[in-house]
Amino acid sequence: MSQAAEEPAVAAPIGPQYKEEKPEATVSTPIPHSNVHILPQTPQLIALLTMIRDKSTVRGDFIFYSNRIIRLLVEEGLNHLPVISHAVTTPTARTYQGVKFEGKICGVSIMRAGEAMEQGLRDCCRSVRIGKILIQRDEETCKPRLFYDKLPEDISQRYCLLLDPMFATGGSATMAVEVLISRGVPEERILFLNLIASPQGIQSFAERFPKLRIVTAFVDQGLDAKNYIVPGLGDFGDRFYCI
Amino acid sequence: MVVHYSPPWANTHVRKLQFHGQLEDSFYKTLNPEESTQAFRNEFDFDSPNSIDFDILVEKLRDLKQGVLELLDMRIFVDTDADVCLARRLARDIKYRGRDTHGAIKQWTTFVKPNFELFVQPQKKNADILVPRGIENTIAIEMIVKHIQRALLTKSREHLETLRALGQGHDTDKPLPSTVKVLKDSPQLQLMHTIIHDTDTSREDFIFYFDRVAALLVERGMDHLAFKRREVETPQGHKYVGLELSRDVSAVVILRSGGALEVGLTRVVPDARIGRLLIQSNVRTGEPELHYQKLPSTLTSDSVLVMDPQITTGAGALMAVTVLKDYGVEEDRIVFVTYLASIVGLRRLTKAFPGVKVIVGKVDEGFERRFIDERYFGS
Repeated sequence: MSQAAEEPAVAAPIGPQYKEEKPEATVSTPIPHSNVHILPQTPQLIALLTMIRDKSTVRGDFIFYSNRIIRLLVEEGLNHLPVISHAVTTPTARTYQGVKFEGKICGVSIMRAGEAMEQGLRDCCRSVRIGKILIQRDEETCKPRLFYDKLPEDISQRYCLLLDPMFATGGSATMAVEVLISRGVPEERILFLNLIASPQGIQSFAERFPKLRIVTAFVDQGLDAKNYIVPGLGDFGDRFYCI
Repeated sequence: MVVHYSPPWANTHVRKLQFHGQLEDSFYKTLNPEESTQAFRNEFDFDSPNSIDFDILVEKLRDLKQGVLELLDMRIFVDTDADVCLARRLARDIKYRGRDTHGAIKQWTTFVKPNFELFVQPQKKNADILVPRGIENTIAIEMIVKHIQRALLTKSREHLETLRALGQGHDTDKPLPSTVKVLKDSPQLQLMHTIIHDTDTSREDFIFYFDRVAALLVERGMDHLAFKRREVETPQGHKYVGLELSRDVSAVVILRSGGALEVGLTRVVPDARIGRLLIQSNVRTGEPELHYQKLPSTLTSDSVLVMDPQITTGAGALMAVTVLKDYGVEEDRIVFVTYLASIVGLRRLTKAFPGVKVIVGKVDEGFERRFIDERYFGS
């Protein structure tokens, strides 16, 4: 998957009609798979992505703007959890036909970049349990290798929100899903939350795990010779934690 | 159907009234060193129109389309005997302003009195009411007070009638106009509605879930602000054609309930400039009343989010948007953010201001009373 070929950028006029023309911007590459859910390409989302892609954005802003996108990803991801009907009484003593969620969830972050998404998850789900998986590229075999994992004991009973902001070839995400499945988590209870994905990576991942659901903010144009996402945003972990 | 909403101050303007309060002190020219020395010698004529910066005054007056006199509903001239005036002036200048008798009398005879005769006295002919003997004339004052009360009552009645008229004549089958944007229905949104509507929800949970939905409402509101193209370079040197906001974002919080949306606002726009309006419904008539306003001066150029978690009758929302329009904010720069809105309220607001976008969490089919702020603030 190391071809340098790139899909052409998709440009579309977006946002509300102003007095002038709608401004044109690059939007996500469409993906035909029904288990890939791309966030609605609203002008605000594009503006947030513009901020975090810009190399001149300082770290504080990078953290703030990526957190806003992550919250939107979590909100969209949670919508894939099943709810059951539940009636309550309103302040005017009317009955309100509502819903509730009865299952249990947990977050699983793929270290280190995935941990940057934990705050956004906690903003929407207070006191959510969070497991961690460390996968690194093996120097000898050049293949991803599982170095460490710490997951809730009852993970097989839970819906898992797997967190990793950048999806290039998907080597570590694939291995993380395999770890979860080996701990008894059914594939259909795994939700993969991602900021930016490569089209070829996300398609083969969606085909490999057809029951798993993927929620992403943006599918980019492609990968370069070094398997970096194009245009991407650089190293997410570095920009979030160090630079 | 052409609809017009006119608030109780329709023939005045909030901003204009404020400006009148500042009129006298604001337009004195800055004194040069020579004039300053004159002033200390009681020889500078503060009462002459020459001491007023007319360029600024004329420019501001041009803003007031109708001119000062026509703006006034009732013109009162309070006439006090010149001897009484002089006596009061002497007492004040000597006791509180540290001047000597000679200086105070000199200023009176050279400037105050002539200018009074030249500029103030002639205004008598513009007055509707002349009050002789000033403050001692309690009969005249009482009559004026009664007149004002009657005028206010008439205005209040007319205002309530306007509000009623705006609420009537809707085609109930007609969908809400496209400027009303209701959050897309989803399982999580239904879940949050359920928790917020449930009287058994703890306050802790109520606040958590209301803040969560508030952030979503503000995010949605941001989608309806103006954006422009922006090209950036990634750390790897790739180009990306994206967008950025065209204008800074200001928010106007309608108190007290609007405060419940502020956490959501700061999660999305932590540096928004925030203005505040206190609008309360009169317990007797139900008429909304504007009690307090503090708005950022940048409203004239910013995108403006107006925040109130609940629209019931819509009267408070109408009043808030009217105040903003008086401040020179065009409708297409205003996005009204609310959580729960009645259909009647939405129809009134969108009929009166078709250019304002309204972001709504949930359309209330019934007529839920205001409860969000009560639950959120616990009082």
